[in-house]
Amino acid sequence: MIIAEQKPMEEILEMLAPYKKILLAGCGACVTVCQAGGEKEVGVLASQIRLARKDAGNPIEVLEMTMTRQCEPEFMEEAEDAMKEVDAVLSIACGIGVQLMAKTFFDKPALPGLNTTFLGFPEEHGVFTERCAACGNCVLHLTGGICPIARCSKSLLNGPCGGSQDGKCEISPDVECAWQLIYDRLKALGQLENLENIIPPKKWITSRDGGPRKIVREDLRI
Amino acid sequence: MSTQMNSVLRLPESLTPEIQEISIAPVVAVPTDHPAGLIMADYLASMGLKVTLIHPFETVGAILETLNEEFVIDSAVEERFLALIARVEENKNISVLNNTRVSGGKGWWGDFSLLVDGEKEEALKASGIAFAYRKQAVVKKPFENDAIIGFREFSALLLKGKESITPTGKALQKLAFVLDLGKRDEKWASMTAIKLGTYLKKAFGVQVSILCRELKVSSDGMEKAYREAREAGVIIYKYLDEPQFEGGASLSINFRDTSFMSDDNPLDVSLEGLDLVVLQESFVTAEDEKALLDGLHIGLEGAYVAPNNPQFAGRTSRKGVVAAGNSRLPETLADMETTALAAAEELYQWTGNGTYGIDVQRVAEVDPSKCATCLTCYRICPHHSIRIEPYGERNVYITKGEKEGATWEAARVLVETCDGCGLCVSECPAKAIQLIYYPDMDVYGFLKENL
Amino acid sequence: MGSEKPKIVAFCCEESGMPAYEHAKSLGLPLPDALKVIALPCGGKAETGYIMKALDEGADAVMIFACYEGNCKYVQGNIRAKKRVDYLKTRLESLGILPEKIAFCPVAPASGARFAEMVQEEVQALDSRENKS
Repeated sequence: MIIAEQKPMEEILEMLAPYKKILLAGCGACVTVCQAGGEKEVGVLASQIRLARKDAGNPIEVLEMTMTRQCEPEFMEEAEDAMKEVDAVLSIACGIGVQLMAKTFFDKPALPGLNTTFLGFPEEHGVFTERCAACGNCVLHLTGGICPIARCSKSLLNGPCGGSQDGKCEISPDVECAWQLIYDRLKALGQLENLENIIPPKKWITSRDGGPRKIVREDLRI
Repeated sequence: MSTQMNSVLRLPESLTPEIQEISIAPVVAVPTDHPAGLIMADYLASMGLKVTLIHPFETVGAILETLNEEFVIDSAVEERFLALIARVEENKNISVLNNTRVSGGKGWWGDFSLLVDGEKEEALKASGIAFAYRKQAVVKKPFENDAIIGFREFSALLLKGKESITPTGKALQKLAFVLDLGKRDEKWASMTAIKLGTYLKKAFGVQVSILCRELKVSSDGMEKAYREAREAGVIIYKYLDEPQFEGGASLSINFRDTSFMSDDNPLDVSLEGLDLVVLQESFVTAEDEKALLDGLHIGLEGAYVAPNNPQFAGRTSRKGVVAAGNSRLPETLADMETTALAAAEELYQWTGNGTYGIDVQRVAEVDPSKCATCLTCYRICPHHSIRIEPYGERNVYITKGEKEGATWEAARVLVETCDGCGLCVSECPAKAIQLIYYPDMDVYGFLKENL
Repeated sequence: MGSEKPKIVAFCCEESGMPAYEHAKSLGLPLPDALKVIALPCGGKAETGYIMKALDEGADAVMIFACYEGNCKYVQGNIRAKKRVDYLKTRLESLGILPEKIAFCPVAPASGARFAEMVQEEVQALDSRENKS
């Protein structure tokens, strides 16, 4: 799931400064689940914006809406009527949603209310951790199902660096050393010999290094 | 100012209560290794319920063996408990499973099942559960010394009389309670230290010091007791780093106190010549109890809910499950017996009548079209009364009983066990849940009208 | 007739806040006329949306009366409410709104005096703020 968190209020208010009437658009998918941009957050944030602007003597009208998913062109229809009325849209979906809003409603500014942070899952309720860096070339079968790209601070592919201590990473005692985890897991699986196979330098072309990525599935195209 | 003008929005009564009759078999399980379990089994059986007593010992009598470790008992008490054992063994409503351990549990009110030794295929069914387990008290002494003891041992000494308050036989003149060495979020030690400290200071002029990280006096009665303690001359210190103990014939404790000064400007304190040091012990939960609590999604917290109404002394966070004995807080013999009876009565109310009318309006309901299946409600429900069908079945929920044929593709609230607290409603990020009898619109409407 | 200010919205837990309010009333303790009382089945039902909506609609302050820690009938309802209030306060601060506008007030069901006292404290806090600005 995509994990995001709300931008600081100061930043949101600054973005909204030029506008008198906006649409606050939430999204019913990932950001609802990570409690950053669902219907509840829409209501709360709308009240906060109205309150701040009223206190500043510069009231703003905020329309509220939570779309099914902001990452599908078809669902953009849901916002069509509201978009006619407003000066801008503040989207509290991930960056994908903001961009689709910008693309669909070309004449109105689309502003991001969230910082899209990473791909991960809730380790416990309210604690989200990163698990995937979307590098485009998965090595999880070699590393005991623990991703060295996303979870090792240095994204090392062949064992830990010298900063691994008591199973923790040198950047902070709260961060687990991914290579310690990989070692433990491979040991439990009886696959420690995996570690003797050197993983060759990674081709980062499948990641961001190759520029914007695109997948075309001719079989799926309609 | 007057008190007549306030606008008040009260919890609505259902105008036309929609009652659903459900039947609950009068069958309960009592997993235990504590005398409180016997008291509950005895009471429930005497009220005509079918009781299964599950315990890990050879005989029922063995449950009493460690009674005097925890409590001070005399011959009258012993006789009472022997009679209890006899009643439990003779009562036809009680079936006893000796030598049996509990390894888990699941289900909900009216339909619990307990996993017991070797019978994992066929779990024990029960409508309600009353459990009571021992907790082992662990005193982490800095070094071996007779004058360092835990609260449990100290209470036992106190009951024996003033002359034997110290285990060393020395007259008690200087005493220190040291709290928060291990777990820091338990209230009982603060309460006990303050009450006992005040008593000892007032009755015997004992010089009492209480060392803690933070005194937990966040209730009305406790604030008063705290003031009383200060007025009586009990000295309360706050430390940040663990106090250092020095021993031998005379005990002393050295630490930095932050109660008088600010945190940046602490004061080094040395308490010397202590006759007795009472440490807050930690309690180890029995394995059986842990398995049971995990399986039922109660957790240690849920096992000792301390509601405002003392009548509900044995209540846990789940409907149809009650607790007594050490499964709650450390307590005296009289408290233990009262709690056990209160718990048993509570369970009797939930399982003794056969059928129950449930007002299906006084519960929460999920709007499946809005649910994002984020599991927030499932995780937060104190009664574990919200369920989500496994993904393999594509989240389709066929409801039990009412609304035949309806399907859910989302979380669903079990009306039987929902208590209508609304925690799920307030946490739902998709605003997909509403209390049927008290929808959000009531509150929003009231705010709009009155502000 | 009493004054219409300050408008305080009190969200009261049915187990503690409500009985405390009734108690305060039965004792005839002074409460502001413009106090709006909303009963909730649990302090934990005081959701972020309710609190923000109340402020949005023009309340001068929002108080949440819940049980003391460890006393919640629903195990952690009061703790959830407290955490929510703490989170909202940080948000309000960054909005340039005084965080004292929201208060989490643990109260015992039989302490009407404490209830009235806490409301009075809030009123005074609001007054002194008004005089300052």
